[in-house]
Amino acid sequence: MLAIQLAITGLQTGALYALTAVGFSLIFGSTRIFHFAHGATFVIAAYLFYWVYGTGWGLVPGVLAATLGAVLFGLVLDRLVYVPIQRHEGSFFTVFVASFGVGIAVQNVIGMIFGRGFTSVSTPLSRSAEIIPGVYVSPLAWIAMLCTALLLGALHFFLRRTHTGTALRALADDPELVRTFGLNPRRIAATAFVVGSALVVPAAIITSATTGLNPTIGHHVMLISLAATIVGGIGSISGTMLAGLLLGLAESLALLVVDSQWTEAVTFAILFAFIIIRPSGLLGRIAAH
Amino acid sequence: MTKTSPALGEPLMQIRNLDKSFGGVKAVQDVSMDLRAGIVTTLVGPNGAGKTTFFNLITGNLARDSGQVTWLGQDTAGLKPYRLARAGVGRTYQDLRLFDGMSVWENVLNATEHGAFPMPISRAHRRGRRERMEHVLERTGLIDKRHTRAIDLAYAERKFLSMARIMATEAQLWLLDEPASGLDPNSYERFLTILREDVAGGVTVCIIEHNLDIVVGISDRIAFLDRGKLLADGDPKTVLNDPELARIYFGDRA
Repeated sequence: MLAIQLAITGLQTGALYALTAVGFSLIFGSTRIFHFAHGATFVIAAYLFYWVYGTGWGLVPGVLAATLGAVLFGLVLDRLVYVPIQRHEGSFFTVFVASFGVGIAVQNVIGMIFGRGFTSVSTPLSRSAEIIPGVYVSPLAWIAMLCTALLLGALHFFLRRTHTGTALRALADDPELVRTFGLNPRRIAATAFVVGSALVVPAAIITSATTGLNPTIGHHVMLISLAATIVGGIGSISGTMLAGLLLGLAESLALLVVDSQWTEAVTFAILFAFIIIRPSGLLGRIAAH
Repeated sequence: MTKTSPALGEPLMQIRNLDKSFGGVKAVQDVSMDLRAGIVTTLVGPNGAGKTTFFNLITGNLARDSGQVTWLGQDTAGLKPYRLARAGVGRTYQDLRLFDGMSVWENVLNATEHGAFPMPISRAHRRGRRERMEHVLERTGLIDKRHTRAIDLAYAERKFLSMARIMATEAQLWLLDEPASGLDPNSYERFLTILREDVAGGVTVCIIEHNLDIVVGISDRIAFLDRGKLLADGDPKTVLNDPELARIYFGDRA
């Protein structure tokens, strides 16, 4: 029974990892910006929801505030940090340090406003029900999985079937070339930030209602996103999604053998295994050079 | 910049005293040239003469050291390459630079007009775009391969996909970098037909080409570049019959 319980919990966690990681992968894949502050986007969305919903303004305003906050943060960061750095021939490392710094600043500001401890949102949906003897599942688990399936389906449609989505993939393919066709690369990049940042919102909200929040959660989120992007194969959205699910499941099922404090090590073990055995990732193409 | 249609022979793009050096090497030196509406200009010259660099300079993909380029009477200095592309300057690349992982259709879609991006466009506009894309793919013989990934196409098909993209841009000026090199005779005929139709339809072409049969067959005018300098610019027969240019082009054998 424990294995089933852990598998379901793992799928729930994995679904949320998949969403967050796909957001990062989309931004990194199309803009090549190492958006380390993606974890901060998650924290901002989560705390905004916690604040608005916790104040008693209801679910819809909470979701709206979280979405707006995440998208604006992504856009503003791109505009005020990444664009100026890139304009001055900024290296990968400069972008990384700047992004990392923003992440820490956000973590501290959140800590000052909301305190450093654990907080969580209690919703009527958080309560678990016994679905089969010994296995407890909250409605939020199903919502998490459904949300992920719907959003990633929508993302797939967006990238494959719309003009804007095709342009996003074109940017990933050849950023110089899109200009030849009259596309403004900055505007496509901004679109990637909007979509990528919005994808973390459901994960942030559901996490705030399940495992709970603290200001440092951004680091964990970022670690998972990065690991999933590498394990899935850089540039592969479907690979990242599968890797997110895999990491969530592994983290949960690892509890069968190890203590809960070691679960993050499981993530690293999987990451290293892939780097050594299959560096191109689950669905990644092997780089030509 | 607004799109206007100048009369035949009016200058679309005026290039004055263009200069570019890479380190100590002068890639383009003091080149001046007019690209006139409806005229097919061919750039010839030995490898390394600066032909592709010249394209990169006039599209703004490469910053020029000095000189002026005007498009429809307006200075293009400081104009971002994507703006100039939107204003009507299209180009192809010698190495094609297709979006390899994308289908033929998606490659062409990315070349269509993007003025409103990322805002959705109207249904009527979308239908017009689809019809235009289908038309372009029929003319290039790629309509049955529209779902094929670019990387899976044969060599000639890849060349035609590169052409299909510039056709879909509705650019007024086409800068073509060796579009016909390596084509088999049938494909080559098809390419000439397309080019002639579009020139008749009002497109202005500047083309880099090595094959002198092609050059004579389609050019109104030949510009001869060597080591970054424009050595001759004029009527094809006059330029090609110049013994000095022939010596440079073919080496001392001729």
